[in-house]
Order: sequence, then structure tokens, then C-alpha cells
Amino acid sequence: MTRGGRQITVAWGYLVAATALCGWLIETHRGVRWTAVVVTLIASSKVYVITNRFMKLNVAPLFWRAAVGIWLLIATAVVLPGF
Amino acid sequence: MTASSVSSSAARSLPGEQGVWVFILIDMSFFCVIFASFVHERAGGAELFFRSQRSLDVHLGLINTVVLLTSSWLVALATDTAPGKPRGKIRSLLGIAALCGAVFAAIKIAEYTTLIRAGISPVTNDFFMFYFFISFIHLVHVLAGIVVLTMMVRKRGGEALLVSERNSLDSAASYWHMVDLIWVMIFPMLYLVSWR
Repeated sequence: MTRGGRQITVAWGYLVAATALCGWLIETHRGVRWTAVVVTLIASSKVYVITNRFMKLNVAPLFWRAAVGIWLLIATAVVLPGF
Repeated sequence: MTASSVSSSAARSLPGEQGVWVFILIDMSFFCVIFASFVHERAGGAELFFRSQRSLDVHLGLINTVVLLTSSWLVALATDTAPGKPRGKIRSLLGIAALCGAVFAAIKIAEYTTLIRAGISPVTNDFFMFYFFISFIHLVHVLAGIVVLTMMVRKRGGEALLVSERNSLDSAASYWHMVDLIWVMIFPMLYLVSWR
């Protein structure tokens, strides 16, 4: 496997582990506000990893990185104030 | 312009067609508006949303998340070293990714069937109206992605990818990753994040 392939696989490992962590948090602390905030922030971090490692936005021109970054900030901000 | 700035600007390139990225941004913005509507409605009925959310099978949602992440990982591996990778290997990776997409769709349809048999439909309450609407719109994106990936798998040609094929592959991959990242935001919103 190439270096790029290894980085992609490490990113996938993080995404699956983060998903499992969210599942565990909900099983043990469902209905608690801080759990909702943590789970949302974990989801945002997963989106960041997908855009940078899978979509290769880390090597894209600044405009596109900024556009997707702003979308992620807005999407997170839209969901978080509900708490 | 120095040699380093030339090489730096050459290295910074958008994977795939720019038009596909414009579509991706517009689509993501559309979902963002739906998220805002969902959160606005939830603020007025936290208890109803909390109770309704408990009717959903979190385990199926978790399995679907892992299935979609795995499919995205396979597509990322296919595009990673596509110039030097044998066409057969790229096609295998994309084929398995499309199969993962089909598994996602099958689980989603099974979930809808279970809910409808239990008497739950989009008109049951506001939560389920959003649940069916958001997840169905996303499911349509998944089905479109499966069609795109299947078309990439069925493409015939020589051992090496042409530049135009490489561009199509990157565009298809970007779309598929977008479908994945939208689900990553939808999953906690619909299945996990709620409180009394």
C-alpha cells in the first residue's frame, strides 16, 4: 500500500472508531445535553477528515477549501444552537 | 513568478470537474437549510422529538454509517494512486463500493418497512415528517451514486486510465464522498442527538 493509501486507511479507522464512540455515548448517556454536543462535534470532526483525506481538499485551491470549511462551520453552528 | 510558486500552484488542484464541485456546494447548502428547519422545529417540541427518536433503530443507523464510510474508503483508495494502478483493481474497488451503497439502500428500505408496519409514517408527527423527508432525499443521492459508480466500473479500456477518465473518476469519487459526509451529519441529528 502507498503512503497515501495508508493515510486514507488511518482516516477510515478514525471514522469508524469515532462512530463507535458516538454509539457508546448514546447507549450510556442518552438524552443528556452534553452528549448531544459531543456527538455533534465528533460528527463535524468526521466531516473534516472526509473532506481532507478522502476528497483531497487539503491539496485543493484556497477558495474550495474555504468554501467547504465555511459550510462545515455553518452546518455545525446551525445544529449546535439547538442545545 | 518563482519556480517554487509555479510548482506550488500546479500541485494545488481540485480533484475532478469544477462543475461537479459547484453542484456539491449547492447540494450541501440545500441540506444545511433542511438541518436548520429540523433544529428550528425541534426547539418547539423537544419532548416529542426525543420520544419519536427512540422508535428508530440506532444499531441499524450505526451499521449504515460504517457501511457508507467503508464504501467511501474504497473509493478513496481507488482514486489515490489511479494513474499507476491497474484498471482491474480500480474497477474492483469501485464495484465493492457500489455494493456497499446497495447494502446501505437495502437497510434503509428495511427500516422504512419496519416503521410503516408499526403504523409510523411521514404524517405521524413533525419528527417523522423530517425523518422520512431527509433520509429519503439522502437515499435518492445514494442511488444516484450507485448508478455513477456502476457506470465507472463498466467502462472498458486499456490498462492505464486516460486523463479524461481520471477526471471522471475524481468527479464521481467527490460526489460519493459528499453523499457520505452528508450522512455523517444526518445520522447523529436524526438518530442520536436529542434530550428531554
